[in-house]
Amino acid sequence: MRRILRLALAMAFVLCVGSVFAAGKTIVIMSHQTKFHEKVENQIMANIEKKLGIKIEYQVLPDGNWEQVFRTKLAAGDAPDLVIANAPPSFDQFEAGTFVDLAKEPWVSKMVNPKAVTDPKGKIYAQPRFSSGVFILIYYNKKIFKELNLNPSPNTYTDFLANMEKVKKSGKYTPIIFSNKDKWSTQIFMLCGNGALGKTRDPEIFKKIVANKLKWVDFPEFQVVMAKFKELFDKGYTNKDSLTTSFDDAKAAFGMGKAAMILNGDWTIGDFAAKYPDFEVGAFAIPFIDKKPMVTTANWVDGIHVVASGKQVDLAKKVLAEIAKPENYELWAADTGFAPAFTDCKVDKQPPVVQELIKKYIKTGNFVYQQNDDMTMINDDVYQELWSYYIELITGDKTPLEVAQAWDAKFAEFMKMKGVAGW
Amino acid sequence: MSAERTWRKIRLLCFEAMMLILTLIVIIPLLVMVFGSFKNAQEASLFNLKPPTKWLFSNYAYVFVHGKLGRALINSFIVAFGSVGISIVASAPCSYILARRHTRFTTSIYNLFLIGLFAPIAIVPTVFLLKYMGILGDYWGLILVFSAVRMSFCVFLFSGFIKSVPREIDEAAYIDGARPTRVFISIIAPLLKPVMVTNLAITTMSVWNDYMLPMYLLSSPSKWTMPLTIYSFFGQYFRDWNLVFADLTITALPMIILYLFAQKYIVAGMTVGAVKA
Amino acid sequence: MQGGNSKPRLNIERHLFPYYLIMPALLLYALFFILPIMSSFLLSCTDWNVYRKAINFNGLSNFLVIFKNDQFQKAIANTGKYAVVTTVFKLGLGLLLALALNRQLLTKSLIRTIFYMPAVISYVVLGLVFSSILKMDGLLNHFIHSIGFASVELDWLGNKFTALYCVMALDIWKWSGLCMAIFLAGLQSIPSDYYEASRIDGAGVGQQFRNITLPMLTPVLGINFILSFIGGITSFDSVYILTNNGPGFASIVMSTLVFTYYTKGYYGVASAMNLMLFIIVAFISIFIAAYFRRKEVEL
Repeated sequence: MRRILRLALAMAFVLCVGSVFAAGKTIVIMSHQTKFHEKVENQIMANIEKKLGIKIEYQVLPDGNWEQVFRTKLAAGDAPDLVIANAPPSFDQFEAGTFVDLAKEPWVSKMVNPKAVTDPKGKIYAQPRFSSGVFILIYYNKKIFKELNLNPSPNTYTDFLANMEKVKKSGKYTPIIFSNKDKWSTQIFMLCGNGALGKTRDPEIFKKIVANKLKWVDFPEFQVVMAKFKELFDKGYTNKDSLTTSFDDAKAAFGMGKAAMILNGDWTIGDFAAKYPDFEVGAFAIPFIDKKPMVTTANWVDGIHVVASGKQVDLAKKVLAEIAKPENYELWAADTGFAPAFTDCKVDKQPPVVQELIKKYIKTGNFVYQQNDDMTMINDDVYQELWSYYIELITGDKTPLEVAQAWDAKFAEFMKMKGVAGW
Repeated sequence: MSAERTWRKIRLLCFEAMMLILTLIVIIPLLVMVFGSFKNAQEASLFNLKPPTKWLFSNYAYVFVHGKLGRALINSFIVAFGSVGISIVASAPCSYILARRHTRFTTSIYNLFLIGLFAPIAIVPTVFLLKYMGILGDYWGLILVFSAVRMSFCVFLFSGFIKSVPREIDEAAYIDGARPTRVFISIIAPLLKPVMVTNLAITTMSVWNDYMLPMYLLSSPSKWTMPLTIYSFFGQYFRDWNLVFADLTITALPMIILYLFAQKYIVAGMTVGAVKA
Repeated sequence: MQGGNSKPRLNIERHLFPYYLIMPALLLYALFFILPIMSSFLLSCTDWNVYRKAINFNGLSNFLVIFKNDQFQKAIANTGKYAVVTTVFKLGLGLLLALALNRQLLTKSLIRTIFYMPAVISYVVLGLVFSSILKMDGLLNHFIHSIGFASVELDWLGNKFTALYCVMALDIWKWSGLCMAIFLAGLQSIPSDYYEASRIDGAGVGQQFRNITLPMLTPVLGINFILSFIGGITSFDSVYILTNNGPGFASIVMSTLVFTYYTKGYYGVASAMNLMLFIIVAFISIFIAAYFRRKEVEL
């Protein structure tokens, strides 16, 4: 018995030491669930591993706590080499010097939309994974809409609700499916409504809130939008288990025709052509203002950042350069259906519905930027609290007014912690 | 055989049957996991207790490879061996002294160790401490922290047991001229065997099943222990519950096996602990 | 206390049981466990957070922040409920199971093994298994449907009334076997002559239980009670894995509230709350231990 123990201890020691030495050059990339497209990412990494003769490891963390793990590792000097986050909000959410300036990299000149990753001083802190902004609207199942004779382009909020009522009466499908287990998706309705109603009234409204010149409770449209959100749940237009449905579950349910509508960004249906080839998807914007439906878009793209305190910055930059090369990037564009980030990518698998909505809403100026764009210093870990308040709104624990009040308190607390001017 | 005795035997058997039925409460959830692990994705997502129509052992192979479980298994072994080894080797002699020598110093040290049984760990200062020492992210950092955290329980268990070993044994050895370390290694330690196994089993299970400390203290995924890999595996394969169940079963298996082997000692250890309370 | 007589004894003790054998364990423990805890106590009076490098003292304002937090009251209420309910059920079930298994059963060790099994399985595994059972289309709802109560089918983990109780159920399911094993050990250490003697005196089963079993079980009852209650107060894994405080904040407990502060990077406030938790746990442990020690002495 003692001999076995001794042998095992020796083995463990050898493994320990061995693994530290045998590591060789390894690049660690940190990502999280919704940003990770397993098949194509593994393909691309395999290609690069072969080409550069290194190992690449993906750390895929849950959506809810990846940022906090990243911050802790950063503070402890143990950060990954590359990290995937929303750029350019990431530039404000982490302190200056966290990321490496990539302005001199070879792929910079071929970016389709350089503004997306360039900061006001001209520094580029991330490589974009797609070019155009993000489009948030209602995506709907054309077959269900045809079957139940629904209005594919409601012009007033009442028409929007009428669609839901018809689906509910048929009893066959869920009118609109929500994935409140992944709380980042719960905020989307409020982002749309606040932008459409608030920002059109006063374009500076969110900047005022950030500057402490206006409180959330004094932003009446916020409570109106929250009341409309709660109404959807109270009227039974949503899936009964929305609080434990994850985004991937909701996506799957939508793709398999169990729900008529889903409210989220275009990445939701990006890979539908491959996954659900028979699916016909349409899109329309929620008409918060009668006769003037607006798409909510955002000023961020998925970006791969190089962490400055990493120990292999040059190697990380090389990996980025490889990712941008057509032989790798085109695999990405084909699999995800995103608008290509680089001009030399000859593959554009953007779903037709996205191209249509760009024509219908973006080119005609019927769009508004989401509120979070004006508040880029606030990171997801702090937002989690607001999103939890939205859940309390749904369960009836808080009224819209109480949510606004509670958020005002937490908002002030954060701004003071961060030392933002004016608080 | 008298009628009363037969009647009593029948009642006992009925009682036993009822107890066996009660065990279903424990068995059913585990059965969902095990059955599900052999089904195909569709059957598994029905979440029922029907046995799989075809037993897909291939699920396990797939999960082992794609979930990088071979690597995770080795990592868990390394961390468990290191932590448990250090805890036990350090706590045994320590408990010996604390149990035998009665001074104000030893009593305070013993109480200090008791605090660790209930006090929550301060994660962030620990992370910074390891960073300062340069062992953050390594196996060593995690092993040393685990050892420290489990030290309280080990000392508690060992000293409880040692108190039941008569002092005359050590004193006899000293009279023969032996030095303390010698006495401990040759005389006390062999007597500690049953408690040693109990301690080993319980400490290993705590360390193996923990996911918080490894999440904070290990850097690259190639060092992740088994519970950690479940998170990332679930994130990627959430829709294939059959694969998830296979992953869960493989992860739970090592400790179940350890338990089945060490059962006798765990129970014995508790008996001693109960008496010595 | 120490007369001149015990001086030679002390010398022997110093020689037989030298302090240096304590050192490895003590140093490890002090450095990697006690030191971080102590520094976190100091830091509880600072504004240490992840957004700024400077650390300044800010007195007791962190504690004020915690008290004003609208989730603080809920966390305390939930934690109290959790500790009480899980302790009652774990001890109750554990005792019943132990009494049942203390008889001459054929499959005794098999049954005992099965009931203890959940204790050796990680929370990560159990959390996922239970989430699959508690889903809208999971096993529990299937069962409820099949016995005709289709209207009671709920989203168990997404319902603010049932979420915390589901977490408690997981905890009870996992640890009742351990309680049982400890009680069994205690039961088996009661000499059978006590029961023999009382039977001769004409005592019934109920009287035997009250006058022999229960008093003799006091020490193990104490152990189980402390383990259960303190475990309930400091519970983290079960809540985090199963509901993550959800829905909203319905199932938040003290340990997970501390964690939300860590998550947001408010390290100073998190340390303050950790200190509060530490003090609460210390008080309760001392109180419970004293109570049970008194009970033992009374016997």
